[in-house]
Order: sequence, then structure tokens, then C-alpha cells
Amino acid sequence: MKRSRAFWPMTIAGLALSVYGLVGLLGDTAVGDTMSWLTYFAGGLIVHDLVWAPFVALGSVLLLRVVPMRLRPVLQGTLIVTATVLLVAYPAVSGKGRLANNPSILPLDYPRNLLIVLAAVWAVGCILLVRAAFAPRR
Amino acid sequence: MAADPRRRTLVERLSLIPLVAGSFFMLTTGLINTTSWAPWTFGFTAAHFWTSLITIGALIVHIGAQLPVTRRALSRSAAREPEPAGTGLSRRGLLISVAAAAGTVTLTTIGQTVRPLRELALLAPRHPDMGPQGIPVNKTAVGARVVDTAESPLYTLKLVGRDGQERLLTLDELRALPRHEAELPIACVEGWSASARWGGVRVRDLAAMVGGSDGDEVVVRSLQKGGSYSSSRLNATHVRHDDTLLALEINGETLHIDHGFPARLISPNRPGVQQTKWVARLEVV
Repeated sequence: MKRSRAFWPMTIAGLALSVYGLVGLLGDTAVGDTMSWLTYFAGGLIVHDLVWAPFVALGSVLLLRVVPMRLRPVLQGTLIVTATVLLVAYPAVSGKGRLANNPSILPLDYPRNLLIVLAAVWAVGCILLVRAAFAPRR
Repeated sequence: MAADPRRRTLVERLSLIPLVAGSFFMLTTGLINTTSWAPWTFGFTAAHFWTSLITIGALIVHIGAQLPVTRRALSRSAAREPEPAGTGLSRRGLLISVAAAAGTVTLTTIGQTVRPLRELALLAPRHPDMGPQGIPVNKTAVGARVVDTAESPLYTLKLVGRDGQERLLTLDELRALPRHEAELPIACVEGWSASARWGGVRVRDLAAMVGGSDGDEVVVRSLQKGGSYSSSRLNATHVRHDDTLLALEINGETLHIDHGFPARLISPNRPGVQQTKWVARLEVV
């Protein structure tokens, strides 16, 4: 496919901004521990590409074998919402940010609340699954 | 320009490395930070600032490389072709699922700043009603190590003029000055906010006591020693604003020590960390 006329301008501009950010980061004393930053920057990529992506791919292969076509879209959607809620809730559920001298940080019962939210998500998911199962075939 | 599919693919793929790493970094560390948990040792705000530039740069490269694909997908001929049958979720279904995921997360956290939805804020790291005097706190007096100095009967507020003239005010003298009220929120950059009715003395009145005039700026210093947020600077617009107060009261009560007793700054349109607490000194500059 032909390259867009904007290809080189955007590549050069984007690269320049990225390099500016990287040089700025390495030269900023307020960042301090660059190795700690690199652990989280590269670690995120490794977790995303080498742990999460294969896990999703493998799970998908298994689900393809078990779940009939008409139920797949709703099940996939419900799993996407579930994974997102789990990821977002994890820091609060872990309670690691709690401070003995400040009870207003993480004041709620997050494990219980996570179960409530997941129950609501799956209640909706189940209603849609039942509807998909009994929908007339097109 | 001659088509070279390998080169385009290489640029596109390389740009994915900082794009994915940067996006994942911004999202996960940002989310973890809102729960006051810091498992890392880098400086969070500076690292986020620079990493955002790296990520935005990678996004620009990626969009540039993908423009022909985008253009083809949005062309009229593509709109006439129906999506081929897949093995599961359709493109539209994926968009709906992503919207549902974002909607669920928003609905269960936004109550930490949108008060009518606070009972739905099941996963929010803050609850806008929970904290001393019904308002959340970011830094406590114990955390800032100001308990002894803030509660000391010897507390005085020091006003310093541009010409170096000084004036000391005891807490009783502060309370005797003309009192004003303002309804203002503490709005934290971490995502929560909570409003209160504050009572205290106008900062511009205090500045005028040491010769401050319209157009002057004021530096506010805390009893807190060290720390990035132990002082803040009010620009001239903030100084002259009617609602910029050195607050002594919250919702009609004396300030709780975690809200900055004996006196704290409160001013419109400022992030919470710049609403300096345990104020010891106002310098007209």
C-alpha cells in the first residue's frame, strides 16, 4: 500500500517528541531513580505482550471450542468488562496505599464492593446470554 | 513516493514499543498512584510528564504509518461493503464492549467528585463524605510532622511586606479581623473533590497590613518543614479575589488539624496540593 504524504512529517515530528521526552526524563533530577522507571516502562510492555496477550489468545482458543457462535459476542463483551473492572479495582482491593494516620484514604470495603460490581456485570451479561440463546436464528 | 511495505511495517512496529509501554505505564502507575500506593522509587509527577511526551510522540508516528489504512477503512467503498462474518465479536460489538467497560469503571468511581453519584462510587479510592469534618484529607498533620507546632499556644502568623516590614498575629488577633466566607472545593489532581463552606480572613486584607497593594503576589509558607508542597505562590489575580481566604473554619467549625489548623489557604481554581495548610507565613512579593 502507498505511504501517506504525511508519513515522513509525522514520523519525524513524533520521533522528535519521543526523543525529547526520553532525553528530558534522563536529565531530570526530579525523576531520580531511572532504573525504577525503566522497570515499570519495560515491565508493562513485557507483562502486556508476553503474559497478558498469550493468556487472552489461549483462553480464546479454548472458548472457541466450547462456546457456540451465537453466545460468543455477549460472552466476549462480558469478559472485556470483567477484566477492565478487575484491573482498575486491583490497587484499591490490595489496600497497599492505606495509611494508619489517614483513614480517608481507601475508606471503603473494596473486596466486597468489587464482588457487588462483578455480580451486577454478570447479571446483565447472563440476561443478554439467555436472550442470545433463545433469539430466533437469522 | 515508491511503496516499500517492509519499511512502513518496520516503522509502524517499532513505534508500537514506546506506544504500548508508555500507555501501559501511564495507565497503571497513574491508577496505582490514586490509591496513595507508590511501589516505585522514581519521582512520580516528573516521570509521568516525560513519559507522556514519549507516548504522544509514538502515537503520532503510529498514526502517520496507519493513515492509508484509516483512509481506506473510512472510504465510501468500504462503507458499502458489509463486515465479513467473523468467529465472534464484531467490530461494532467490540466498540460497544469497550464503551460498556469504560462506562462501568466511570459509574463506580466518578462519585468521588460528582456528589449525587457518591453512593455508586464502590471502587473509588476516596469517598467525598469520609474524612475529618466530612471532608477527605491527603496529608495529615502526623504525616507532615506539624502536630506540635500547629497546636502550640505560641502559634503566630508572620506577615512580611515587600520592604521587609514584619507583623506578627496571634490566633486571637486573626479571629478578630473582618471575617468572610466562601463556598469552595478541595479539588485533588488525583481525581477526588469535595466542597465546603470556609470562614476566615481575606488574604488581600492580610497583605494590606504590611503594605501590599493591588497587583502584588503572595507566597504562602506552611509550618511543614521541607516537602514539595510546604509552600505555594498566589498570583495577583488570586490575591485580589474575594474568595481567597486564610481559612480558620470549615462548615462553621474550627479547622480540624488535618485540614490545616490553625489556618489554611483556600482559593478558587487551584489544585488541592496548593491550598497550603498549617500556614505560618505570608510574604508579599
